[in-house]
This record gives sequence, C-alpha cells and structure tokens, in this order.
Amino acid sequence: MGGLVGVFYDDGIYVVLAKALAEGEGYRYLHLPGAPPGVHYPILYPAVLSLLWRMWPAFPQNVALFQLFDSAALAVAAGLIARHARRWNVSPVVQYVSLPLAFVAFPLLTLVGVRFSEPLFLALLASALVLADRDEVSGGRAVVVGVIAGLATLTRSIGVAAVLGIPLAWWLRGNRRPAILALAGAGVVLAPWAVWLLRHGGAVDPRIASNYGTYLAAAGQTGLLGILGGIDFRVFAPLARLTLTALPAWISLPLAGLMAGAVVWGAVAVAPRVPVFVTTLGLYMAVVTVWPFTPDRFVWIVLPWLAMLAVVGATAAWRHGAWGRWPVVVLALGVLVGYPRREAVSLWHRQFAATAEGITAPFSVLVPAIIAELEPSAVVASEDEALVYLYTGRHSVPSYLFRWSGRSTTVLPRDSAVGFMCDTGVTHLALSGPEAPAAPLVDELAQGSDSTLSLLFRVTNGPALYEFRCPD
Amino acid sequence: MSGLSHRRAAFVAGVVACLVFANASCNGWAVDDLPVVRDNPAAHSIGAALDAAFSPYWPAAPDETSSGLYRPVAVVSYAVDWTMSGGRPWWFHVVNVLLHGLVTALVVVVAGAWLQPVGGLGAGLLFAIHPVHVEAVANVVGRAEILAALGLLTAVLTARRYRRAAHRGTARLWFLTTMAAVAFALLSKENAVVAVVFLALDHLLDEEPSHRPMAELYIAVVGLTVGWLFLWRAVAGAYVTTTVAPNFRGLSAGERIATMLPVQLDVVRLLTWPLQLSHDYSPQVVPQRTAFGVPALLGLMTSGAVLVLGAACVRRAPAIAFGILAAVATYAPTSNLVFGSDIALAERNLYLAVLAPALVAGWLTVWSLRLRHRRVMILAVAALAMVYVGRTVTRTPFWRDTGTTVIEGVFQHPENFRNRVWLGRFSELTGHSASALAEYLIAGELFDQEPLIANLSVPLALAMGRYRVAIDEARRAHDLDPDDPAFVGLLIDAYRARGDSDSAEALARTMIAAAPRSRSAAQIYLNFLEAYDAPAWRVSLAELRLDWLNFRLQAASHTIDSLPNVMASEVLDQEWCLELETLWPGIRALRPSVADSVAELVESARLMCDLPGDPVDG
Repeated sequence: MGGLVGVFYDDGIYVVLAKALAEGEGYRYLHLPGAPPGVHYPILYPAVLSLLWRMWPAFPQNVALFQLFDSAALAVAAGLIARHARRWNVSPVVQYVSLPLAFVAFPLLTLVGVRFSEPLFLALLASALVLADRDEVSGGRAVVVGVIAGLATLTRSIGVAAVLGIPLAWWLRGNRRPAILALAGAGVVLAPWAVWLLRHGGAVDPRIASNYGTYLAAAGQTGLLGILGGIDFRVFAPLARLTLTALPAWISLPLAGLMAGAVVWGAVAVAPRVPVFVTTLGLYMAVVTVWPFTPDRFVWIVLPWLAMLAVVGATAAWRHGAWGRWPVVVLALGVLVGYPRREAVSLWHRQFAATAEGITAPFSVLVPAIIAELEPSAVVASEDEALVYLYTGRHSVPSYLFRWSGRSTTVLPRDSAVGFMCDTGVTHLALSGPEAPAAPLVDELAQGSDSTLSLLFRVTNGPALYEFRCPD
Repeated sequence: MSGLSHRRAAFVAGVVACLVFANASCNGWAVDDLPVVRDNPAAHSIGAALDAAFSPYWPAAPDETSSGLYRPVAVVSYAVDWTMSGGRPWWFHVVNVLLHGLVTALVVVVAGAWLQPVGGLGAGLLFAIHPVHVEAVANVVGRAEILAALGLLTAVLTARRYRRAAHRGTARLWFLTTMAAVAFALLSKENAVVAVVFLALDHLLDEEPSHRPMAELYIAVVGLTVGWLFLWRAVAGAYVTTTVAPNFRGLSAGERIATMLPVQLDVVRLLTWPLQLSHDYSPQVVPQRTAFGVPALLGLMTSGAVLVLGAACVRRAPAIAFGILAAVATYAPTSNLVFGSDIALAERNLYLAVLAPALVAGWLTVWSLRLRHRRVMILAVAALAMVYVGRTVTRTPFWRDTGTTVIEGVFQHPENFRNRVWLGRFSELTGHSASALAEYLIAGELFDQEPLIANLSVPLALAMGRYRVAIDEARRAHDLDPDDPAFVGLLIDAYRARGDSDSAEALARTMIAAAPRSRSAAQIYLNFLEAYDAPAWRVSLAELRLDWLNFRLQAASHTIDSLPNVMASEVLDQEWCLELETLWPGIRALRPSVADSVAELVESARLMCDLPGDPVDG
C-alpha cells in the first residue's frame, strides 16, 4: 500500500528472516554483520514467507505475493470468526454488519498493508477457537487445538494467551483430559523454539538486545516492578481513539471506559456459549495490559471480535432498562459522530497508508543514493536497518540504541553507541531527517573534533548520509 | 438419433475438431511464436518455466517495458511440449489441436444442460469447425485462449456439480475443483477475468434447484479474481490497458467508442460468416472515427439487438441465452468499448465468443428436427458446414511461418501499415535494407499517426547514409509524441549525422527545458554536450542534473560546491539562468549556503534569474 517494506521496523525484520531461511542461511538476522540468530521474532511467519520467497525470489516484486498471503489469511480469519459467531447466538445484524465493518476499519487496513504477522496469527487463533468452542471435545481434537494454539504462539508470542486460555477454560468446565492434551500439543510445537532460544538467546549483542534479544532479555531490562508499576489499563484507549481523537482525556477516557464496559458486558453475555473464546480473549487483553509495548497493534488485530462484543454488550445493556440505555446512547453517539467520519476520511485520503508513505519518503531518497554511491561492502547505521539492507544489499545496523527502563526506554550513552558501530564495522550513517531518533547522536558526533562523522550529503529538512570513522 | 448420448456427441464433436484442424500440424513457428516460445528460455524446460512463474508472459530485457501480460500456465504448457518434443513445432500444433478438441467436447457437455444430445452435437460441430478459431488453434501462442476456455468451461461444469452435491464432503471437493479451474483459466489468459459472470449465468439459467449456498462460491471466485488482478499487476507492472492500440491514438474515450461501435458489425460478421479473415485489424481495417455516424449507430443497434435477443431467450431458449451472454462477457474486456486496450480487434479473442453461434446452431438443430421439411434444413446446414470447413482448412496454412504470415498478410491487406512494418522488419533481417526502408516509409505513409516506426526507420536510414530520410522520419515521430525524449534523441542523431549541429543543439536545449526531470533526456543532453565540446558550465550543470536524477547526491553536492568557481571563470548569459532555474530546488535542498552564494553572484552579474530563496523541504 504505497510504502517500502521495513518502514514499521518489524515488517522489514520478518522479510529479512524469511530471506535468510529461503536462501539456506538459517534463522538469522542477515542484515546485521555476523548475522546473529533470530531469537526475538517467532519463526512461523518468516518461515511461511520464506516458502513464498523460494517461489518468487525477486525482491521487492515478491512482496506482492506476501501481501496476497496476508490478505488470504485475513479472509480466512474473517470466515472463521463469522462461523464462530454463529455459536454466539446473536442477531444476524451483529454478525453481518459489525464484523465486515470491523474488517475494513482503517487500523486493520494499516496492519494488512504492512508485512506484519497479525493476519496469520488471527487466522490461527480463530481456527483454534472454532475447534475449541464445541460441546464435545475429543482427545484428538484437543491435541489439534493445542497444536494450532502453539502455532499461533510461534507467529506472535502473545499467542501464549491461547496456549493457556483454552486449557484453562476446559479445565474450569471439568474437561481436564482435553486441557492437558491441548497443553501437551502446544508444548510439542513450542519445544523446538524454546530449545533454539535457550541455545542462542545469548548470542545477540546486549547493546541491541532491546530489539533483537529474547523477550526474557527485554523483561530483564524492564523489570517486573517496572511493568506492574506502569499498568494503567490503557488497553482500551485505542478503541476510544478509533472514534474521537481530538477530545481531551476527560472525555475520551470515559468513552473508552464505556466501550470497555460494553465489551465486557458482551463477553459476559456470550460466555456461556463460547467460554473458551471469552477466557482466551480475556487472557489476551490481560497480557496486552501488562505488556510493556504500545498496545495499539495488539488491540487492532482483535478488533473484529471486540466490535462484535461491544455491539452484543450494548444490546444487552439496552434491554436492561433505563440505567443501561443512557450509557448506550452516549456510546452510540460517540461512535456515530466520530467513527464514520474518520473511516471515510481515512479511506478517501488513504490515511491508513499515510504513516507508511511518510516514513517511506526519506528512504526513497536514501536507498537509491546508497545504491548509487556506496561500495557493496559498506555497513550503514540507520533507522529501519532491515529496510536499508533489503533494498540496497548493504549490511545495516540500528543507529538508535536503547534499553528498556520500566515501560519507557533510555538511550544508550554516546560511547556505547560509537563502540557498537566500530565493533560492527559501520562505514556510513544514514539519517531520515532532523527529527530522527539518532539525530542528537549525529549532531554530537558531527560537531566533534575527531572527524568521526563527515557529511556526504544532506537534504534540507530531509535525509542525510555521513561517512563514519572510528575514533582513534 | 435416439442412440446418441451427450458423451458420444461430445466425443464426435471433439474428433471432428481435431480432424478439421489436422493440417495445423504442418505449421512451424509464426510471428509471436518466435519470441514467446522458440526463443524464450522459460518455455524450453519445465524447471525454467516454474522459475519464471512470476515473470511477464513476453520475455523482456531489464530495461524494456513489460508487455503487461501474465500467463504462467501457458508458459508451463509450452515447456511441457518442448520437453516432450525437443522443440519440434509440429508437436505444439498437435497439442493445440487436441486441446481444441477437448474444449469442443466441453462445449457439448455444457450445452447438455439445455439441449438434447443432437442439439449439443450441432453446437459442438459448429464450434469445432468455426474458421475464426484458426488464429487461436493454428498459431502456437493461441493456446492461451484455448487453455483459458478449457478452465472456464470446466469451472462451469464443476460448479454445477457443486450446486447439485447432496453431501457436504462432495460439495467441498467440487468447490475446490471449481476454484482450481478458475485459477487455471486466470493464469492462462486474462480474459478469464469474467469467470464469475460465466458461473452466475449458468446458475441463473440452470433449471435444477441448487442444494448449496452459492454466495460462498461467488465470494471465493471474486476473491480469487481480485487476488489474481493484484498478482498480475505486481508481476507484469501494468495492465494491458496502459498501452493503446494505434487505432485509438489521440482519441478521447467517446471517439474510441465511436471507432469501435462499427467494429461490432465486424464481430457479428466474423461469428456468423467468417470467410474474410485478417490477422491484424490496424487503423486501415478499423478506421479511426471521431464522430458517431451511421456505422456507429448500426453497430450500436446490432449490439443492442444481440443483447436483447440473449435476454429474451432466458426462459424460452436458455441455451441461446447462455451462448450469447457468455460470448458478450468474454468479448467485453477486449471490445475496447469499456476501456481501451492495445489491440482493436483480434480473431483469437473471439475463441469463446463462438459459443453464441454454436449454441444457436445447437438450438436450431433441435428445432429443425421438428419441422416437416427438415431435410432441406439439414442440407442447408451441411452446405454451410462445408463452407466453414473449407475456409478453416484453407486458412490454417496462413500461420505456417512468419514469412508466410507477413507476405500473405501484405497480399490480403496491403493497406495495413503494420503488415508493411513487419515486411520491412523481415526484409531488414534478411539483409534487404533498401526494401526494408521502403516498407517502413510506406507504412508511415499508410498511417502517419504511429511514431514507433521511427525506431526502425531512422537507425536504418542513418546506417544507409540517407540522412534526409532519417531527419524526416525522426521529425515525424517527434511531432507525434513530443514528450518522448527517445524521438528527440533520434532527431539529434540524424542532425548530427548530417553535420547540422545548430539544429541538434537547439533541439537538445528545447528537450531539456521541456523535460527537466527526465533521466533519459538528461543523458541524451549530456552526451550531446560532451560530443560538441560545450562550455564547461553547461557540461557541469548537465552532470549535476544527471547526478541528481540518478541519486548520486554526494557527487551532486561536490558539483554544487564548485559552482561559484565555475561562475567566476565563465562569461555567463541569460541561458545560464534558464539552465540554473530548473536545477535550483535541488541546489537549495542539498547546499543552501552555496545556493546563497550563487544567488549573490547572479545578482552581481545582473542576470535576470528566477531563483526563489525560500527554504526547501526535503
């Protein structure tokens, strides 16, 4: 959708890992000098992309094939969610209006326009839940459900919510044998990945562990107290932003609260019919709440479910009498006033692709400039380093180094950053613009007297390219 | 005919189709067969074909524009043939004929939903022998049509099975088979884009009730088609609609429709009385029209009447309705009435449209058997069939080889400029330069709206020392397409060859002023300046332009840094301003401080340059 692969960082890394697998290099970050093993991103989505890469090895043309796959996965997910919703026993209006609307919501379009693992994850999660929410669960089916939940976790680590949630729901309903079998199935799928992490988790340079190390390393930086201390139940905030963005917090937060209330009410209403789904989604939202990263991406991908639950909850509240109707009216007004306009504007002006296109703009100058003037052996420190590698073939490392500190980040000191660049053989440093995260470091180095950086070119208010020399 | 079953009718019609086209096996490679099959490495082994599964249909060098076509199944089928035959063309033709026989048999089976076996046989026989099929069957690359038809008709039959399946498992199998058939058709040729219309038509006209929810199938087929459209664009770069047939060059959408409406009469003629055939419908065969006249009105009325007939037969004669409406659907994408394509009319595109006369013939067969004087009818039909067979058999050798096609084409349609271009190319490749140039010039005389002829005629004229001719040809092309720097380059080459450097220089400057952001224009300009020992400042600015356009921003920055020195050492005039102004945004963006110095020097030299000083965003 109009952006280069890698503008959202993770998308570039997925494709680099897919390339590595397709070319027989193993599961490694090919773009980094020394190609350390991939221990941050679960393997399944890059593995699927690697199969497509083998079929069509011409990058970037083959990105179209990846996009087709993502779209097909989302279509499968939509079909499965619709099928699962039949068990909810809700009005067809809920199913046939809210579900399609949720699938064309602009945040979801943004996700699908980028090579993210969310569509595959949603398809796997929905498959597991469709199979799990049955009246009778046989042993064989339980194993299959566990395996699919494990595959979902191999796609996105938060799939652990399904690995734990599905057996938990069964256990609570007295189905203990299927619960154990499902856990075993998931365990079998996840065990090789766990072994890989144990063997290679320490192979990543600690200075880039925030982006490339294991989640354990990130959690170690964050600290348990840091995570728990930062919990602010912002998980529903993206839903409020979906409708009204420009309002002050005292309006948008209550609106988010109402939305959350409707979702919870809906979940309670459908729980007797789809207990596994409700338990899993509840666990999923709980994980997102304590997750140190921004919750938006995690919320958007389950938006179709949240939207349907909100409608079910609002309907139930409406039937509850006057006390239930006023909040529904307020919520409905908030949604009707805000959402259609945002959606229409987004579709009409392609705003769902605007962020990707905005980040692409400086790289559409940097990438051809690097190709035209830098040696193939050059090592470029840059933001979106996977993008730089994919499109230029030059090794690339992150120019902005940070570590987690509670739920926020702290930039690494200058000497540590320079030391990392020297250790990895960086020859050039690219900057996407004066507001880039690495800009302060670049300014500091460029003004220094040791000629660590010398300017090759700089576009006014745009990208710049520097030659980098290790200080003596 | 009581012993005739649909299966037997299908077999008979298929065999007849193979027999009538049997002489195609004597053909060799002709016209498009050469680049697409004979000289295409991807068509020479199955592995290479699979490796090229995501490549455009027409092989193109990296710097060439893609053909805009994507037909991997056709390429794989050529590769299979090549592997089996070692590249002998007769084998490819035999496979084409067999595939045509298979499609004919499927037509009979499809018609079986509405017609008795004898009617299906009538439909199949007409489909088998129809002369308009010659281009698709007797020319190897016509296979794409046949494969697409095979996929579409198979999809119709499997979708029927899906609708009628009693068990869920069986239905799922037929569902998947239908999807596979549609995918096969789509990946064979682009006109299978109408697959969902085909399936819906058959569903609409089917008298048996459906046991399955068809919405799911339609959604899946539409999804598949959308995915294929996306893939097609990703592989081939652009849809075929981005290039325009010479017939429509310079015409508005309305004028294109005015041009194509009379062609609908030709289409009806080709489907009913196809004795006069042409392998190319260039502007002389399909003349450009800029206004709606009587021919357009007649075309409109005929098209409307055909559509009304199709709609009117929905209840009374569903076979005719299916034939006509399916024919309209398959022809519509290439009719140039909805959007312009790169071909005005091609007989191969009517391959499936022959369903219309075929199913009408099938229905008439059944109807005539009820008549008292049916023998007279049978005799008339037999006579017509003999005429069709005769025309088909005599037309097939037209595609024997490129030489035959080109020379016969010129004999049959000497007024067709494209035939002249092909003859010229043929002559050039066989070493007859003078004849070749003559043919190119004749082509230009026959149709003076085609600038691409200059790409052939100008280099040949220059090689022969015919500078005046080269200048005239290049100028004609440049006048037709002044925005294309390639034609300016040809004209500059022609002027330079004749020693007219002033004209060449004027032209080069005009070109760069008109297209300051064109990379090819910048390269042509720099080449010209370097060849003519131009002033250093002019060469320096031309290099700067080319560096900027090629993203050599470090080099561009160095050149900008040297600009004040260059300015100080040269006598600058107003021309300097003209060159500088188009480069100014880039100079300001890359080196704002140098830009300020240059602006001061310009001011001190009292030059009237338009050099805005506002900051430039990156």
